[in-house]
Amino acid sequence: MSRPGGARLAAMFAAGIELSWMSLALRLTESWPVFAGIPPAWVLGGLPLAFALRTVTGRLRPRLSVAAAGAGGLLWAAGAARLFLAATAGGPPPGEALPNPGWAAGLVAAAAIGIWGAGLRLAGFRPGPGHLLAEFQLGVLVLLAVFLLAAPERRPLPGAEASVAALFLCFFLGAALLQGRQAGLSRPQVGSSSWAAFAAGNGVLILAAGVLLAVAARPEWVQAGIDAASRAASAAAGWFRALIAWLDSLLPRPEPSPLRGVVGAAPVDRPPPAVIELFRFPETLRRVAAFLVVSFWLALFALCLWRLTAEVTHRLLRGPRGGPEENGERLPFSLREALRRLLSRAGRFLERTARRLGFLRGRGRPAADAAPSAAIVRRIYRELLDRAAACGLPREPAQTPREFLARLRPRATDSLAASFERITAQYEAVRYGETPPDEEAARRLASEWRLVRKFHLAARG
Amino acid sequence: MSDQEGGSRDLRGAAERFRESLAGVVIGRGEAIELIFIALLCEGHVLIEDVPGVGKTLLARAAARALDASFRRIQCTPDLLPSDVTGLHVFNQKTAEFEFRPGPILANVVLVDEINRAMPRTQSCLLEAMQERQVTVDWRTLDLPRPFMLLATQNPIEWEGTFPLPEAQLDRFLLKLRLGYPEAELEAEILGRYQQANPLEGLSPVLGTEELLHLQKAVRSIRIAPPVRGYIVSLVRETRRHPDIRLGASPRAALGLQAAAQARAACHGRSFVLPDDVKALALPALAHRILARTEARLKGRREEELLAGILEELPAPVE
Repeated sequence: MSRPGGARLAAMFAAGIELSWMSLALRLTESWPVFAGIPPAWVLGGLPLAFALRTVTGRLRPRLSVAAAGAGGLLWAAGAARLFLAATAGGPPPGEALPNPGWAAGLVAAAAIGIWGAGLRLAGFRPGPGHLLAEFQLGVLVLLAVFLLAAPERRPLPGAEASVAALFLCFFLGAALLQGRQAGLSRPQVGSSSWAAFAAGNGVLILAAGVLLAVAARPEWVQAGIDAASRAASAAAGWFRALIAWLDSLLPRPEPSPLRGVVGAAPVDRPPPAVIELFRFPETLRRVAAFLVVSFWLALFALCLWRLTAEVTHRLLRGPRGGPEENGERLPFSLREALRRLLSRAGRFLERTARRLGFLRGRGRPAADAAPSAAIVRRIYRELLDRAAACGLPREPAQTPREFLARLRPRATDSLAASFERITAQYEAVRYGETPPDEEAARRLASEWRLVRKFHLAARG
Repeated sequence: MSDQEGGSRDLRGAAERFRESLAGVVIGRGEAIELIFIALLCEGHVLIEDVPGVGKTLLARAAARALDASFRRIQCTPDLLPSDVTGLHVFNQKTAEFEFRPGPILANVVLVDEINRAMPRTQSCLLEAMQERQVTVDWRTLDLPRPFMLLATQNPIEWEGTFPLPEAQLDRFLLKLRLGYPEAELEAEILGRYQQANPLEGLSPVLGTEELLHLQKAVRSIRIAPPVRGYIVSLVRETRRHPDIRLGASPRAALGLQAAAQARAACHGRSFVLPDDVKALALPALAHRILARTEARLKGRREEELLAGILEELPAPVE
């Protein structure tokens, strides 16, 4: 297969993935009367139209191309909202209250813009495993959101488990084949290539997600699973309570007061075992656990949306041609990378907190003979890297501190750049020269860092 | 001020003097001048490869003249014999004894011009001199004067009557430089500077052999932290694992890169090596010691490009 053939195959897979997610989402929304006024063709048609518009205007100047794509998207969204309002002008659709048509029309317009954006993304698609994976990750999020939205309503969900599993399988095989081709291997050699571990890991993840989603496609299965889990939890809790009660009964107790035997005295029950009191808060615990789980998922979705916004903005600003792949940059949207960073930050935060509270000794700390001033400098530099990454300028793994400083400098004010230089110089001396600064210098550096630690970087140098 | 800091200051001062001295003769070649000084500090050898007329020989001659040391030049031709390089015993009729007549290799700085024009047997006689700093003539081993440095030039364009250097010999060169054509402004400056006289004639030595030996010792004390040493090892090992590279860099290459990184750090006034030093010297120190696979060459991927790709991917030792 030639390279253009591979590119066509990759583009077809990407388009297939996009259309699959969207058609599934649309079939779901069709079952909601509030969206019944929108012809599905109008919404889905935004994808090829945006694709065609972006391809045709791709040779124009970037600003003109972006303006055309933006104007087309706005028109498309306005048309969708207008159609919706016209369809619901006579009142709410049967079977569904429509308290706020404006809000619903806004949702419709947002959905249309989202699909338009997908068309623009596809127009700027560059074949490659990373990009395919990003499309897939985005699709998983879309589908998961749809299922989560639909679950409380007990809507009849589209897509039997077989179709969902087939979709996952197609994607996996296509991505594996494409990667094998890109690695310069023929088909029989694919299994022995160096990326086999990566592909197998992704395959397991994908199949696991597919099974979960296939199960979620049947609400009654979900409910049955929840019921079974509840029954099991209740039974386990009952057994545990019985065990505690039995253990409690074995404990020696003081003899009852002689007054208890007096006629006319109020009967006094045996006091409840104190240990059981500890387990009288299952509801509270359940709520805390639910809060933690929901918070995690909300944070995850917020992160993904942020990444997605960053990617769309990036592409709109730079245009589909000359995208990040051509410049050797990483794809802005990568769930794995985002999760890795998030977990890494959370880990550091927990580690710092544990150390402050005195729970942690040894691990992650500088060696016992290392000067505390060296630890201060290294911590400051780590925080500098974290802050720069939060400002959209993460250090690439191959970059040295000086190279990273050269990237930071044009995006900072003069005084900020001078602070960065001092911090980098101290860090180099500590890390590579093994010469920590004296206590006074470390204190000065820490106070300087406190003044600038919430820095912002300019968008462009 | 510690001895190490004092040594770093001396080194930086010497580097400045050397650079300023050569900058008036070899215009716009600051990087090449620095690399030659680095090789001097490591007592390594330098191969300068480029098309004719870009100043290879001039650079080598200027570097030799900036040193207050003995200098010899060997102009390589296909009929050059090993004895023309190492020297030979001749019979003195007056004393009726064999006398050793030393060859040009017995000097502090030796310029081997057009080295790839010499036959393999003549090229091979340089191997012992380059690595062991000694030559063997008629079963007699002679130590070369210290410091000893070999500056070789070659022209990559002409293939008629040339003999490509074997890998074993290439591996003995610490650095390989390419000069390239100068920019238009620099070319104009060269014309102006050389209009009336050759500045090379007025070049006087700025560094003596004793001082150079002292600096070479001082360079060895430049600190290399374990993470930087690990970075060098990873880089070298990566060249051996790369799918497009047939022959990776040798342990001698890693040693050379480490020494050169120490010298560069010293030239920049530092008492410790940074990963930047390793990165800056990776191409001149390693590119000539690795061999790309034929498939990669057919795709137009040269060793320098492959090495640059490795440097872009290899994680730097940072937090």
